[in-house]
Amino acid sequence: MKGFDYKTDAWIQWCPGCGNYGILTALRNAIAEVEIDPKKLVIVSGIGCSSRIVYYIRGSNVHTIHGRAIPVASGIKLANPDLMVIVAGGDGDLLGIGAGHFVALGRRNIDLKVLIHDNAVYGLTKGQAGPTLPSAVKLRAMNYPNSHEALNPLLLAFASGYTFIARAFAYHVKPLKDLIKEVLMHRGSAVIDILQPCVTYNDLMTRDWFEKRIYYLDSLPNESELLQKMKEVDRIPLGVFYKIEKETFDQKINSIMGRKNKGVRNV
Amino acid sequence: MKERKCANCNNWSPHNLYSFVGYCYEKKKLSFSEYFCELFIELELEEEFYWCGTCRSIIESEEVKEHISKRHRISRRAFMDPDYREEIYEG
Amino acid sequence: MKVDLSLAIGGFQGGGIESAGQIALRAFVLKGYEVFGSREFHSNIIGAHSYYHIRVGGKALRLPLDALIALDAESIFTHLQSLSKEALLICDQYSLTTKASEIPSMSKALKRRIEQNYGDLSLNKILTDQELKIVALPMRDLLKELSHERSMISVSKALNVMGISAGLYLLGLNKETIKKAIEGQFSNPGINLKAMEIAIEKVKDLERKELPDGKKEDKLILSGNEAVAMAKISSGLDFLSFYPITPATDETLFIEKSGKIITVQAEDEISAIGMALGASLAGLRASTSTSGPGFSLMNEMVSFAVQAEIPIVITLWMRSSPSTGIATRTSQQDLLHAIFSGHGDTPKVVIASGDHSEAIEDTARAFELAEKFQIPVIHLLDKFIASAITTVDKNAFRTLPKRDFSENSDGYLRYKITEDGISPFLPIGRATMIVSSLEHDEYGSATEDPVDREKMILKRIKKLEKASEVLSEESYSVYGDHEPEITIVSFGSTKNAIMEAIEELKIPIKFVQLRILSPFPDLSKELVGKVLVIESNAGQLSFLLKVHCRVDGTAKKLNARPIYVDEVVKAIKAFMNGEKEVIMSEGV
Repeated sequence: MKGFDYKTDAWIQWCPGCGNYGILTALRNAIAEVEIDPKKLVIVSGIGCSSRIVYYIRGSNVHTIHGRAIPVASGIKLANPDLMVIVAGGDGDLLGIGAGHFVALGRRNIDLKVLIHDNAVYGLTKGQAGPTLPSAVKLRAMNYPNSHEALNPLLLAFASGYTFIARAFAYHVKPLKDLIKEVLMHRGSAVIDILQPCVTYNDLMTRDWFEKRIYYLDSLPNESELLQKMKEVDRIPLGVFYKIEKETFDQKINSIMGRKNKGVRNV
Repeated sequence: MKERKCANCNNWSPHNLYSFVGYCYEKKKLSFSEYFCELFIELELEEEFYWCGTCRSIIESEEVKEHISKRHRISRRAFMDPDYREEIYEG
Repeated sequence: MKVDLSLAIGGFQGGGIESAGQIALRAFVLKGYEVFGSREFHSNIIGAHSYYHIRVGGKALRLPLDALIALDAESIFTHLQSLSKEALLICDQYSLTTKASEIPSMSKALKRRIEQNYGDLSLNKILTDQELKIVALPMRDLLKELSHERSMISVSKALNVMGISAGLYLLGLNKETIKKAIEGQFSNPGINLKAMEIAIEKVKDLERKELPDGKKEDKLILSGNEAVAMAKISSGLDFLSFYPITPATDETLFIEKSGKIITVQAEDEISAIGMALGASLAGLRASTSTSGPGFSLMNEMVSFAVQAEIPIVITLWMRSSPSTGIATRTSQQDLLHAIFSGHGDTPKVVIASGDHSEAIEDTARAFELAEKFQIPVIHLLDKFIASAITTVDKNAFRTLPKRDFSENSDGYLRYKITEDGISPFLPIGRATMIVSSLEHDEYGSATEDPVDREKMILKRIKKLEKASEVLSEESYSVYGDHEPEITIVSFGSTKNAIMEAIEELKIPIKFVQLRILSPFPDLSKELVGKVLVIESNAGQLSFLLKVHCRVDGTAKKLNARPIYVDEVVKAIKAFMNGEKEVIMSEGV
């Protein structure tokens, strides 16, 4: 199948130039190359600009409520481990209101793939500071400079126990597609922090701003350099930072219960 | 010098709920507060925390003197039934 | 001879009250009597006063107490005013020298009340003027005797068995029955049986009257938490997610222990209901259990379940609120919270059960309704039912067929408009679809179109109208006289106390017990004479009934304690004498 086969007839509501377009194309192409049956593809989103992605990819998708995609996706995956379940949401959705669930997912290592559409602002509500916006920055719609420190999604993911942690840039569609393909093959809680500009509200972290700073990791960082790489801010490394194999939550639950998965299967 | 009985012995801890009975950590068995034996050692006041049987509460070393002056029953710790968890309700 | 007894076993939390209570219940069941045991305790791990109130010969609690088995002095002080004039009081001889002021775990408020009534005197002095039958056991000596015979480590489980054995024996049970009850309680009962022997030996010459055998039946003895857990398992529950909260956790842990059901401890109640909704979307029979504070967090998800049309059963064990309130005590304060939960127009079903048997019945019914109408169903219960123990029919449990997914997946429309508003359900993973919290079209795509919007909101409301039709006959039960002077309306765990009060009063009273509170049934033809609402809150059912029909008076229970037959009798009499508002204040 081709990425085009997963297109829906919904009109896309994102602003022209939005990073979400890059993510949408990369995700669609990755899914097509892995040849996932649309019925078994489950994209679960919260609320925000990026969460609209469920309407633009043909699947068996769920649009939940603000911050709560991870719990609903967890229930789906535990009920039916045969499904490919992807969580999509913004940094506000996943790391602000939903941060507790983001941490809990890492602790559980449920086989869910989390895509953070990270633009450091709340777009739908018109440009308030998101959890990843650096301190003291005043974006165009903000009344005062940001009085919060920025959250580092990679460090949070690492501390929480995610077994696959990566960073990507929304406009580098082909590398992003390859990274998503890799994440789809991973078994366990995986996260890609996808940096994206918000053309309307984030007048600091523009496409140009990112392109001056980003570079690709040559290889998986070793233990001694891992945290250093995750913490870098002046230059922004992209790629896979951390990747390990571990027993997943549903495997554990099922071995505790002494039985095989009893989800709904045989589609 | 205190009376030589379990209640005043360094080796003995009263039951947290029923203070007339307790546990001897030397003999590793229950005994009653008024018993005594050759292993008696007077309570040593060198710990950071104590059990006050009168108040049924843990007290700090600075409070010990005050409790003793009120004739409270002080010991090193309290003994709890090994299976007390089975009797506790969620809450 | 009808045997009717009310007794309490009191002592320290963690001090063997639970096993003593269970021994007593088991003994009376073995003898062939109806039993009901209520557990009252503090939100505390160890040392605060807790007690078991047992009714023999009925399913509701009665006061005053015919007997008190007090394992400590605080129990005597606490229940002194609840004892009947000639009640049997079994206690430790040494606790009689205690003054209330000397008991560190007793609340300041109770100490104050005792001092006002009696002065700061030792129990010995307070009890001299009473006509109670006091059996003061030398517990320390009995324990010494036991420790000479056996090496012993659990003090509480020796003293409680001594107290309860002496008590049951003096109340007229024979040694053989008590022995069997103890053997049923402990896996290795040797030392406990010896404790029983010693205690009964001590009281064997006292006056007692042997109780006759009752009617022996083969029934289960269950708490409300266990009854609901077993009903969920029997109903074919596949998935349960929860966040620990009193008094719901015992239900979930029972289910987890069964080993057959995916049980997940979530990071909070939002996640608990979120996971259950996800599992339900994937086709499993799913549920979550909580109490008021947790249900507050679930509110947004209730609205999501309505909008996205996801079946879910939420078991809401009410406790004393607002806020953390008194976490281990009962109330019915979440009625309006449940009915009006979720923002927006959120049609849902709210079911309330009056006792253990109804709770079992309603659990299966909750799943049927949730899945048929693809809505949240809130099953209202309370802490009183949760921790009370009583007998239940072995065949009370129903099994349900698996959820039906026969719809064709080609061209599937998740929100297809149909005559009754119900769209065929296919789980996630069986067809391409969108399940959406946004207003949506039939496929599930987001829409803000006014015509689509109106259609969808009417579709969701139509489902509840349909539910209302299906439920009309079963929304409430009617007991008592059909041409009465007054009609009592109530819901939930007040049921058995009201039934028994009516029986006792021997005046024509009709009792309408609501089982379904949303959609609220039409009671216009049922309310005859003056209408009295009885409830354990500040007037929530009264409010609903005023909106839908009429109310003449309300009897309220506000002290976070269970409801007693005797205070209901008094409340009805007061209402008949013209009082519009009665506060029922029994219980310690």
